[in-house]
Amino acid sequence: MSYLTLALAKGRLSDLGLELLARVGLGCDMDKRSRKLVYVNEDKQLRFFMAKPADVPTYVEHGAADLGIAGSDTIREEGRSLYETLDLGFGKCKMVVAGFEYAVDRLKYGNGLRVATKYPNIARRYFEEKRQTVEIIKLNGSVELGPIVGLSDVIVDLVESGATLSANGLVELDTVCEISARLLVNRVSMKMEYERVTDIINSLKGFVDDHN
Amino acid sequence: MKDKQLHTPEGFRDFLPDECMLKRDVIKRVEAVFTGYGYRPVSSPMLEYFEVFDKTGSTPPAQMYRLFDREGGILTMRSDMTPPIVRIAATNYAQDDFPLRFFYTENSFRCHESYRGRAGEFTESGVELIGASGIEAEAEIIALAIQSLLAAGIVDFKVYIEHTEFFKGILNECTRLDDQSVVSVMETLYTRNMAEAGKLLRSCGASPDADRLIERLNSLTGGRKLLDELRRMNLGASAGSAVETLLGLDDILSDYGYDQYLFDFVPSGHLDYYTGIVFHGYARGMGFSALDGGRYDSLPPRFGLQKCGSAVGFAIKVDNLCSILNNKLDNNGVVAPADLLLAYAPENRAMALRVASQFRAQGLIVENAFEKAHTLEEAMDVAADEQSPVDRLILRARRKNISGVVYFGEGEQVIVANAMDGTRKLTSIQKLLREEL
Repeated sequence: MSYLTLALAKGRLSDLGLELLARVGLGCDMDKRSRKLVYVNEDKQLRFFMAKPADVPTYVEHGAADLGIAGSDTIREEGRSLYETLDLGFGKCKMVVAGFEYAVDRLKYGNGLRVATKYPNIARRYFEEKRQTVEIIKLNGSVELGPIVGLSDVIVDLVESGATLSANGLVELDTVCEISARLLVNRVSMKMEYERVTDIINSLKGFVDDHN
Repeated sequence: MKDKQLHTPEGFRDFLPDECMLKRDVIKRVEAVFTGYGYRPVSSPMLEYFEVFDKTGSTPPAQMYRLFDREGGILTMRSDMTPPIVRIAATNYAQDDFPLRFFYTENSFRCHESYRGRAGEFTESGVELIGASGIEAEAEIIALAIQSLLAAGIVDFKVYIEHTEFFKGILNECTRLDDQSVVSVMETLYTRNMAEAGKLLRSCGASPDADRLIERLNSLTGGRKLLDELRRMNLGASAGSAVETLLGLDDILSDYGYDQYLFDFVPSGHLDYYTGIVFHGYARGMGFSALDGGRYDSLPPRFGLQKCGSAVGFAIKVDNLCSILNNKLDNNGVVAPADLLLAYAPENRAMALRVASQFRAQGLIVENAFEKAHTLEEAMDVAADEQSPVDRLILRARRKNISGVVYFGEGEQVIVANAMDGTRKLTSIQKLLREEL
């Protein structure tokens, strides 16, 4: 039997992901301080590695990882060809349009609207569906700065508690979509390792269903 | 600055001899399978009018390379072989020529987003069976697909057979689903996103039957048992007939003697022109499919083929097969470019070339070393640099994994050396001409 490889999004989701895997008996000892990149559960013939969240769909699409755990935000943004088999129910947050309160009028007419975001594809699709042509500016972090320093009218970003927004005087203007962690499966692994992959999906699903 | 003279465009690459040999070998093997079933080769131009592909459901327009002809017409680098072959069938054949059996090996082109690791140019070997409807035709095509993968040397693979009308049928039976919702649900199914599909169905009040099936998505893959189980369920007319089609197909395929396939009732998202059965071949060692195919009755009528308009075919992704086979190869040794390395003195050139031709006729590969041979005494001489000319040739052969050296010195004598162990023997031209090596 060969190893099944699972890619985990580093950061926000990894602790919860590892905990969930451990609960259904698929965990492994991961020493946080170690600089090792790949961990193995010999019992279940599973390999794990941590990757930057935005890269998890890429590993899974190419089959470098058979399975992956990543947020639906990165999945939407990356638009990779893969299976998104399960809503794992944790890491919940929202993708929103935010800005100063007065921007709400500006949002009604897209023409010339400047949107700063880490998620240009999600933002583009959202405004396309609203039939608005806007100018999207890609930023790599601290997107809230956009309206504050006058780079953009609004932002499209993830919001968990809303604390960062309100601390900077920004408000949610519209919800783009709900976000949560998903279990990804490579299209070929789903077929070639059908039983093992399905077992993993079902045990995770059982656990998630029981706890919702 | 990047010196473009030294680079290929992103997504395009060169193939060096070892890779080319493997690729040609794979192509030769699968084409032999196609030929055995009466398929005949066709070739179409690399440049086509954009209209051949536009609105056929073949390729997303963003992925097509486009250029203009002198009159301002839009040309495209072909992105898929099926529409051009349907054009060939529609414009060159009379009704009683059908069914037509074609095969091809050609390169197609797609323009992908940057940094995605996807090839812009890819080789496909495929078949198209045009003007034959029904499961006998479909079974022949799937049997061919399985047999070609086996012939190419792929062992660990499975072909998954789907049916476009199964889920579409079930969703269309849900009276409260409008067309747009059917499309949205299908799209979530393509990614096996049960959470989203379930949510969509519930929000538009679909029947509990459909909802239950969505819940079961991950157990909708299987063989005869699954087919029999689905047959007993009341799934409505078009899903029911999809199941019947697959049952019939299963019977014929087992008569062909194949069992390397399974049925998959979850659509995996495919070309829009498919109508009916669709199949994908997956092999261990590659994250993408190894072959794709299906029935595409919607395409021939677009090219004016109203009668004989049914068609089914598949394409093997040759580059994907090669990368699976390449990873399996034992890469310890360099593949030998030749069996023998040849050197001769000018006065014996005619004889040496004659002997070389004789070896080549026996199937050996003989490479000219372009090294002037000396008298035998000089050839064997280990004077100044402690390596005789023959020693040097033997080393050169060994480096390239060539197993023998033939050295025609001045006079009648020839040295034949085994480059692997360094042993050598003396023989004569006459003897070499008479006997095999």
